[in-house]
Amino acid sequence: MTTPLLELRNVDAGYGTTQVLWDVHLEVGEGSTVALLGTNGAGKSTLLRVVVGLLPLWGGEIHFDGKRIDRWDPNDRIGASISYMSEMGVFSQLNVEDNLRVGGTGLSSRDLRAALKETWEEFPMLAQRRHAPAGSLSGGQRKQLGLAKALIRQPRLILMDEPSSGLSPILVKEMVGILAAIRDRHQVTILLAEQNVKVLDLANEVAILHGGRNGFTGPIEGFRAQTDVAAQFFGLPSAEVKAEEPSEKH
Amino acid sequence: MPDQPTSPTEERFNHENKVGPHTRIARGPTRVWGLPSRWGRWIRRLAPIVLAPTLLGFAPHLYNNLSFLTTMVVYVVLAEGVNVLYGYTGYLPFGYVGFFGAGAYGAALSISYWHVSGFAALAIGGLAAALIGLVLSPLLRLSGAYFALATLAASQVIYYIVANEPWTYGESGTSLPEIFNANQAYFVALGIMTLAIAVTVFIRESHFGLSLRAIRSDPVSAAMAGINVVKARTLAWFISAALAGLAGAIWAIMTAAFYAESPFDLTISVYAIVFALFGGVRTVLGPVVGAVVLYTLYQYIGISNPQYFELVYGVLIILLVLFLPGGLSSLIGHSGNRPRWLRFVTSRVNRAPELLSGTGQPIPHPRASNQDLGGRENGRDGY
Repeated sequence: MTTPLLELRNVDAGYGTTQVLWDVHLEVGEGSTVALLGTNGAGKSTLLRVVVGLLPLWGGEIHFDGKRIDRWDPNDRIGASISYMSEMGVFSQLNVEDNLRVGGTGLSSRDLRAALKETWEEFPMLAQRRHAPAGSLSGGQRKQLGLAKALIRQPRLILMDEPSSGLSPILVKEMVGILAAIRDRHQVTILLAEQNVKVLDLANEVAILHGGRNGFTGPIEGFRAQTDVAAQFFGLPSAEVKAEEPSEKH
Repeated sequence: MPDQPTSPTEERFNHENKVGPHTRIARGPTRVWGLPSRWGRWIRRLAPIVLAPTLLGFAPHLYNNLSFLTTMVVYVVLAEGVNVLYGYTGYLPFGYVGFFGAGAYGAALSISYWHVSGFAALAIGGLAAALIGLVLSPLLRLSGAYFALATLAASQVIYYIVANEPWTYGESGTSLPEIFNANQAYFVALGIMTLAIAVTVFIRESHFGLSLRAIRSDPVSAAMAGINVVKARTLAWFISAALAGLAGAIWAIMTAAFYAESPFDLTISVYAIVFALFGGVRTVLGPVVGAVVLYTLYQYIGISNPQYFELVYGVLIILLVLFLPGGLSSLIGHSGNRPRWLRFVTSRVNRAPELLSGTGQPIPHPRASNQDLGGRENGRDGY
C-alpha cells in the first residue's frame, strides 16, 4: 500500500484544559473521499482544525504527503496544498469576485485570472453574482462560494467542515452532486466532517469519531453492512442507511 | 451541477441558481466612468493623486493664510493615516498622536544635532515614527477598546519621556532655524499628502488591500486562505505610523519653536479620527474631504467662538453617527453604501417625473430587494 496523503497518528488535542481528541488515528489516501462522521461534539471540527493548524496538537503526529506538518505554521500548511472550507467561511463584506481573489492569495496574477475564468465556468451562479456582496447570497450559494474559494488554488486535499449544514434536503443533494463533479474533475482528495446521511453517496471511506475516539473506520461498503453502527450514528432506521440512494421523505 | 430538475419541488429549490427575469448577469466593468475599462481604471487610480494636490495647490490664491493651509494639509495626511489603519484593519488608534509627535521630534532633533537638510529631516521623522511603530507592534495583539486605550497610554509614555529629558530639550523647548519658508513648507506638505493619497490608492487597488479587507471581515478565514495575517496588519501599522511621522516632521519644520505638549496634544488624535470618519474611511478621498471641510469649519467658528465650535462639532458627530455612518463619501459613489433612508429619498427624487405624471410603476421598498431602485446591484465594496 502506498503512503496515505494525510495521516494522523495518536493525535490528542483540545481547547484550554478540555481534551477533545483522544489518541485518534486517521489515514486519507490520495484521491479518496473520507467522510468523518459523528454526533455534535464528537471532535470532527476539532480534528479538521488540528490538521490545518488552527489548534495546536497536544500529542501525536500529522503527516501530509510524507512530511511531518504538525509543527508548521497554518500559512505553510495552506501553501502545501491543503485547503480548508469552514462552515460559513465567506467574507460577507467582500463581493464574490474579491472572495475568490482572497482565496487565490499567493497565485500569480496570470494564474489567478485563469483560475477565475475556470471558476466562472464551473459555477455559473457565482459568475452571475460576481459583484454582489457575499453577505447577500443565500445559504446554498454561500456554500458554493466557499467551495469555489477553497478550490481556486487547486489544492490536493480539501478539508470541509459540514458542507451540508443549514441546507434544505434538496440543496444537500445538489451540493453532493456538485462535490462529486468537482472531485472527479480536479482529482482532489476530500476529508469532510458531516452529520448528514446523504454525504455517504459521495464518500468511499468512513471514519467515525465517538466521544473524540476512533470508532468504525473503513470502506463505505463495510459501513453500510454494519447497519447497527450506522443506525446508531444517524438515529435512523437501519434500512435507510443501507439503501444505495436514500429515499426522499416529503 | 446536477442534471435537469425532475420535480416541481426541486425546480423551486433550484431557482436561485438559474437566471430569472430579475437576475442581472454581472459582467466585468467594461466601462468605468464612461471610458473603456483599461483607461478608466487608470484614471480612477490617478485622478485622486493628481486632482487633490492640484486643487489644494491653488488654495493660497483664494485664502492666503499659509499657516492655516499647511496645518490643514497636515491633518489631511493624519486622517489618511487613520484611514489606512482603521479603515482597512479596524484598529482604532487613539494614541495616533504618538506617531505624530515622534515624527516631529525625529525631524527637530536631527536638525538640531546633525544639521541635516529639510528633506532628510522629513525622512528621519517618518522613520522615527515607524521605529516607534516597531516597538509598539505587540499592541496589535490587542483588539477593540483595549487596543485604543493601549495606544493612548503608549503615546502618553512617549510624551512624558520627550517632555522631561534634557536631550530632547524638554525643559527649554525646541527651536529650529528656518528650513523652508511658509510657501515651501506648504508645497512640501502637499507633496507628503500626495504620497499619502497614492499609498491609499495602492492599498485600495492592490491584493494587499484586499487581504486587509478580508482580515477585517474574518481574520481566521483570511489565514485559512493563505494570508499572513500578522504580517499584513503589521505592514499597515507601519505605513500608517510613517505617514503620521511625515506629517509630524513637516509640522515641526513649519512651527520651528514648540514644547512637547504641542505635537503630543491628544486633540490631534481625536481630530484625525473624526476627520477620517466624517469624510468616510475605506475611501481614498473621504479623509481628504473630511479634513478640509471640518478644519475649515474649525478655522471659521473655532477661533472666534470656541464654545460654539465644540457645540457644532458635537452636533455634527451625533448627526453623522445617526444618519451617515459611512461618512460624507457615502453620499456619492455606489448607491449600496448609502444609508437606507437616503436611497429611499434619491429613488423617489429620481422618479419624480414619472410619479407625478402617474405613469410610474409602484416602487418597492428598498428593504424588499437587494437591488437598489436605480437598478444597480447594491452593496459593492465602494470607495
